[in-house]
Amino acid sequence: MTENKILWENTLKELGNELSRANFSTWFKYTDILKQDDGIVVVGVPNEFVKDWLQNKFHKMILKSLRNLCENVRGVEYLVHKVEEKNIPKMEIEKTALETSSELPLADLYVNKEDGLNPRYTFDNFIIGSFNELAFAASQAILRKVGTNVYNPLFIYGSTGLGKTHLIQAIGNQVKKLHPDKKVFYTTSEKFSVDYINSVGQGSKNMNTFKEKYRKYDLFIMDDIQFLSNKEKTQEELFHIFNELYHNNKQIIFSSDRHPNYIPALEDRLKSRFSSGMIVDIQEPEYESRIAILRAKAQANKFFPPEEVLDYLASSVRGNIRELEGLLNGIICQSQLKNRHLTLSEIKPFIKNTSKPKKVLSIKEIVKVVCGFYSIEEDHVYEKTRRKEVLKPRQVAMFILREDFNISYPTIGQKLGGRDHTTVMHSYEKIKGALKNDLPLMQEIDQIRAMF
Amino acid sequence: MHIKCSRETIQKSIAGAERVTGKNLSLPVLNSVLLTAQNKTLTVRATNLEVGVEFTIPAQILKEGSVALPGALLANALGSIPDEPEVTLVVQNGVCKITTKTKTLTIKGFTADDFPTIPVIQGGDGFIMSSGKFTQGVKAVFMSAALSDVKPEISSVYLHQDADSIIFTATDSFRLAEKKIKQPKITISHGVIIPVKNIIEIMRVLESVNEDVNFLVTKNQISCASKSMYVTSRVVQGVYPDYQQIIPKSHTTEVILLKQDLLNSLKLSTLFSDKFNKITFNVDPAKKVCSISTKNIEIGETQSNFTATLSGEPVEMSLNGKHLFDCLGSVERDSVVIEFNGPDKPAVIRGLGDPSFTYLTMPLTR
Repeated sequence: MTENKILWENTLKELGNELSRANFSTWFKYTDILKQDDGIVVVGVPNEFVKDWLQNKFHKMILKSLRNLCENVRGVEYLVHKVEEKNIPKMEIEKTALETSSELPLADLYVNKEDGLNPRYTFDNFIIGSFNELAFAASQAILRKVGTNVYNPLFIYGSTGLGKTHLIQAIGNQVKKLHPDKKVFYTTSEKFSVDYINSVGQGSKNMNTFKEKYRKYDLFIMDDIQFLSNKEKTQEELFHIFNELYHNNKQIIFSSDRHPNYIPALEDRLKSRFSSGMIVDIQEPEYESRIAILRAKAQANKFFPPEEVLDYLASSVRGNIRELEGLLNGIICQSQLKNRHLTLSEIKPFIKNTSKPKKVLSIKEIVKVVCGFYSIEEDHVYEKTRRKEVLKPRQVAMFILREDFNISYPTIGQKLGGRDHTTVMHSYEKIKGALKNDLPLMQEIDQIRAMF
Repeated sequence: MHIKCSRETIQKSIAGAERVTGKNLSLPVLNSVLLTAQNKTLTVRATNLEVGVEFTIPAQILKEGSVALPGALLANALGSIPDEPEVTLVVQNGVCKITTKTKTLTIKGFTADDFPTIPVIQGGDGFIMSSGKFTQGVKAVFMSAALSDVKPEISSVYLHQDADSIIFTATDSFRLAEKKIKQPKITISHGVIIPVKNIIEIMRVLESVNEDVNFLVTKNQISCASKSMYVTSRVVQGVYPDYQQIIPKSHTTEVILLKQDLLNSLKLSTLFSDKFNKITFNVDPAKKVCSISTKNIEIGETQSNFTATLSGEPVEMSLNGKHLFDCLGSVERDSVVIEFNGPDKPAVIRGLGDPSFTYLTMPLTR
């Protein structure tokens, strides 16, 4: 990239000496070298007028200058391309009349139909914290070398509302900006399967156009891959597309709400392919990141709440960034309505209303769920038996009671058949330790938790 | 070069071409128009590197050749000798000598070699439309396009196909105008975004001819060609907002009133409006009330009542009077329909029984 820039700058210097200043600045403004391909230099020009003129008038001169600097140049081609917006001198908007009138909501509708990317998602408004820095680093590596890096395919997973879509769309937008010649395509697995189904319904000709369509991209991004489970033929098609792209050194990026190995009903050959590149997860943001996110969002809305409000929001709302955003929006809306900043005491009930109410469950109910999961009789848990099939559910139940419901060790012991609190402590520690490297157990507990 | 031709024809086409000459570019040759005598016709060409125009006019060619002459000067000079039916142009050593029966002028020219070429479009999508219909479409919407260059997509007029119509759209994100022009046999697969400054020039050129025009569209360029003229302009490479989603499908209040009534009252009201051109509508179908009022603390206030057909819920909302005024020129019917969707939603304006024109304007909130 920089090599082209230097070459073109030197060419321009040489041309500048030969041409009159007026001629030079009129015709060579906003030109650059887009790419060099086998001795053919492709010069980007701002419009057809310039293209025509350079071709008819200055072609020989340009070719000569390029050859002087770089001997293996055989030809020059001209291509009209979009001038980067920042290069165009901008006029200041007169804001007087505009500010009082609300805008038509056009800004959200700029989704590019050709590549499916929403230009709103960029790295400029992406907040990096320790929760997503690995994913961010991987994305930066991809930007440096699209396709030919070790992070191909990149698989990003994390639970909903943590910024997966933002990150992968930002990669797409950034690649588009840095390498205008690369073809970028963003789709969701749902759109992909609908597209596939439509093409199946319409016979072999459409099937081929479908195959062709997805194989021509240099960067292929697919969001929410977990929805492909149980769609066998769609998976098969994705498998073929994946192979084709991968063998041609094209970059592939996936996102999902869980690790590929835990996506149910997903073909093994797909799972193993997903795992062949880089798998990174996005965790829940920690307190500092939450503060940074809130600040950025508030700034974007030109709303500056007192520090203590942000602090309170960040410390009381965990996890999901989307929820955090929603709460902030609610607060912005309320303060606009009241035309003043809200106090902490006004915000507290607000958060209580919007955050999920935690279910209150009796110990008996919890034990019932656990026993149901392991399909054993509930009574056995309370008995003094150390049979293996009873022991594990009992320990799991103790673990969940302690970990999720914060019930004291003696109470747990008492309620589960009059056991000593040290027994409960032992069970708790045992499960906790096992969780570190026992994958099936981890899944079991996740599934049990989902049932509450 | 040595030619003879009708003064009126050459003056008309030079005046038409001269308008697009680049006024403030560093290349002085762009201020001129290029005259080329070849194969029994004279072509007059001008460009500002955004738009290129070429007129072809009949002339008696005694010797082929070409010259670039200062456009404004030439147009004024030829315009100041209205009585002369015929002119003779002779170019020698870069100086053009123009003679009529009674007058002789000499004008210093530039060599034609430095004059830019105009891109000629080959292939691409296209349609044929009469120049009148096209200018009608552009005229109906172009005043709604944004004037600043910050977002090139919306400082433009957007053309796209919908079944057997060409749809012209312009918006500055506070208001939006859409005009449908029926035309059989259109094939433009992608919408095309033409900078508003350029399409105004195209419109002016097309206004001067009355012919069927062949429009061709490629990724970078649009061209309009007829027997006697050729215009081409750069197009914006970008994505036009998918605006159709914001045109309300229904309404809560509907007002039908005479266009002339509204125009007269708006003229009056804008005299008293504040710097935001704020006018306030007050509509109450139950009480049969429909009025607009303006208020300026420094001057005074007005209120105008209308006889109008009203239906739906009562509403009171403020709009930009200038936006309203702008669109009424594009309404081709005698009666105007204004549809409201509550005080904080855009109002829609149409001609009564005319689905071809739709205008959207956002309420003033303060």
